[in-house]
Amino acid sequence: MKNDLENTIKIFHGPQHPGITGNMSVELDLLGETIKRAQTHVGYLHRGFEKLVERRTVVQAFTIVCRICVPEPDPNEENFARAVENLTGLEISEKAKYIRTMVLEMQRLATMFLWMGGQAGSIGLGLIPQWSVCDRDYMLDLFEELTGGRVYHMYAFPGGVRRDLPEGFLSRLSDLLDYYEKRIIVYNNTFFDNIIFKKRAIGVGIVNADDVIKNAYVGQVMRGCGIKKDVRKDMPYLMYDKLDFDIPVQSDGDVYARALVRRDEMLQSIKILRQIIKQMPSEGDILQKIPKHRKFKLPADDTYVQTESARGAMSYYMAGDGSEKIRRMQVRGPSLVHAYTLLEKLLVDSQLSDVAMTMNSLGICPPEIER
Amino acid sequence: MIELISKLEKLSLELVQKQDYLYKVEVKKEQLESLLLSFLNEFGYITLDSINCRDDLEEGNFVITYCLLTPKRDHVVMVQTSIERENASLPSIHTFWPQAEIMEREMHEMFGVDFPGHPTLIDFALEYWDNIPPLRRDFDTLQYVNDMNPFRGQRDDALDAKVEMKKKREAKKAAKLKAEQEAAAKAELETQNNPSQEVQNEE
Repeated sequence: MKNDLENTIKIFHGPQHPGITGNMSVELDLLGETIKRAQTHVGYLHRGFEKLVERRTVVQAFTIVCRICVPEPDPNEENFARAVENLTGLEISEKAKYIRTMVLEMQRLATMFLWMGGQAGSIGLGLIPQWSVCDRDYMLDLFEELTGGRVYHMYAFPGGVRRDLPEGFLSRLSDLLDYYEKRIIVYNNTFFDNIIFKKRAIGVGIVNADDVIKNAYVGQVMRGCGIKKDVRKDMPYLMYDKLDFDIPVQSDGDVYARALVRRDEMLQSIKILRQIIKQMPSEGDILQKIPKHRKFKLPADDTYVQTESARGAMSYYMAGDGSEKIRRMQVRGPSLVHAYTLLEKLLVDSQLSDVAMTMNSLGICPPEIER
Repeated sequence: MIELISKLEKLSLELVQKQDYLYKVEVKKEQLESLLLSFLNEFGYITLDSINCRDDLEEGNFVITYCLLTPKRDHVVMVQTSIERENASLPSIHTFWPQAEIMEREMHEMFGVDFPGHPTLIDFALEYWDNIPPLRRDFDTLQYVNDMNPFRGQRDDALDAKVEMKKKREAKKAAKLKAEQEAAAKAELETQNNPSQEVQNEE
C-alpha cells in the first residue's frame, strides 16, 4: 500500500468561500474526507495599516486603527488611545472611563451575535444567522446614536471620548438589554441545546490545556480548557476593577465548550452593562483638551498595552520618537497565533466539513493577521 | 517581582517599571538567547505574547522587543535588544516557543531580519516580493505605488476636468451677472412707471 500522503488531493478552502471567516485560505491535503495536512495562507487583504500609521499624526492615525478588524473595531481604538495616554501621561476622567468601558462591552455583545451567526451558519443552521444578525443591528442602532457610525465608531480618542451620551441613551440601552436577556434564552433553546450542534461540535477541535499557556492562546480557546484568565481581571484597565463580574470557563476544550463560554460571556456583559448604567456619573469632562492637537508630539519612548476583545487579549506595541509622527505601532491580535500555530494543528485528522466550524470557534479575523 | 529584580541584578541588568503592569529590561544581543531561556525555565515566564520590531533608521538599529507573561498573566515583561540594520540577524527561538515561528517569519518579510535555523522563512503576506522589506522606514510607499501602478491614460474624447470646471464657473458667473442686470433694469422700469409710489414711501 502506498504512503497516505501520496494519495491525497489538494484543495483550497477560501479565500472566496462562505465558510471562511474573511479573506484568507487554508490549503488542505485530503485523503477522502479526512484532512492530512493544513496550511494557512494570508495576503489577500494586506492593507499595510502599520505602515500607514507611521506617516501620520495621532489625530490622523486615530481614524485608521478601527479598520484593522471589521467585526470588532473598538478594542483597537481603546488600545490605541490607551497607548498614547501611557506615552504622554494624559489622564482621563471617570466619566470618560465609564463610557469607554460601556462601549467595549456593547461591542463585545455585538461581536458575539455576529459570531453566533457564523458558527450556526457553518454547520447549516440557517435560521440562527438571520436572527442574530438582526439582533446585532439593534446594538448598531445604539452605536449610531452614540458615535455617528454603525460599524466603525472612531469614538475613544486619546484623552477621553469624542462625544457625550445623548439624552435618554442609558434607558434605551437598558431596554435593549432586557430584550437581549429574553433572546439569549431563545438562542439557548434553538442553538446551544440544538442536537445538531451538539453532535457536530462536541469532541471536535480539542485544544490541549498544556499547549494553551505556552503557545499564548487567548480568549475562549483558553477559557474553554478551564484556564480562568481574562485581561479585564488580571491587568484591569478603565473601570473593570470596580465592576463585579465572573469569568466563565468550561473544561472540555472543544468547539462546543468554546460556544458555551461565549454564551456565558454574553450574560456577563449584560451584567457589566447594567452596573455601568447604575454607576455612570451624570457630570464630568468627557475629553481632556489636548493643546495644539495637530502638532501633538509623542515622546521618544515605547509602551505595550493589552485589552480583552471579544475573541481574546489584543495587544499593541507603540513607540514615539519625539515628533508628531508615530514611530511604530504593532498589532498583536488573537488571530495571528490562532490561525497559524493552532489551526494548522487542529485541522489534522479532522473532517473537511468541520473546517469552517473550527475556524469560527477560534475567532479568526484575517485583517488582523496581515494588518 | 523582587526575586526577578535580584536575579537580573546578578546578570548586571536593570528591570524598569514603565506602567502598572509593564516592566522592561534592555539586554545586549549576545545575552538575548540565554536570558530568554532563563526567563522561560527559571523565572517562570513561559508565555511569549509577541515579538515586536521597530526601525530606528537614524541610529542604524532595529529594536526588537519580546513580550513575556507568567501563567498568572498579571504583568508583562518586555525584553528589549537592538541590532544593527545592516545584515540584521537574530537567533531563532521557535524551538522554545512554537508561535515564534510565525512571528519571526513575518519579521523576516517585513524588516528583512534573518533567523538562522528557522525552518520556514517563506512568504507570509506578500508574494514574490523583490523590493526592500516594506516596513523598513527607508521604503517609500508613494514612490513604490507610482512606479508599480502607472496612471492609466484617458480616452480620446475625455474632457479635462480643470477646463470644464472653469467653463462651468464662468457660465455661472455670467448667468448671475445677467440676472442682476435684469433685476436692476426691471426695478428701474417700475420706478419710472409709477413714481407716485416712491413719493408715498418718502412721506
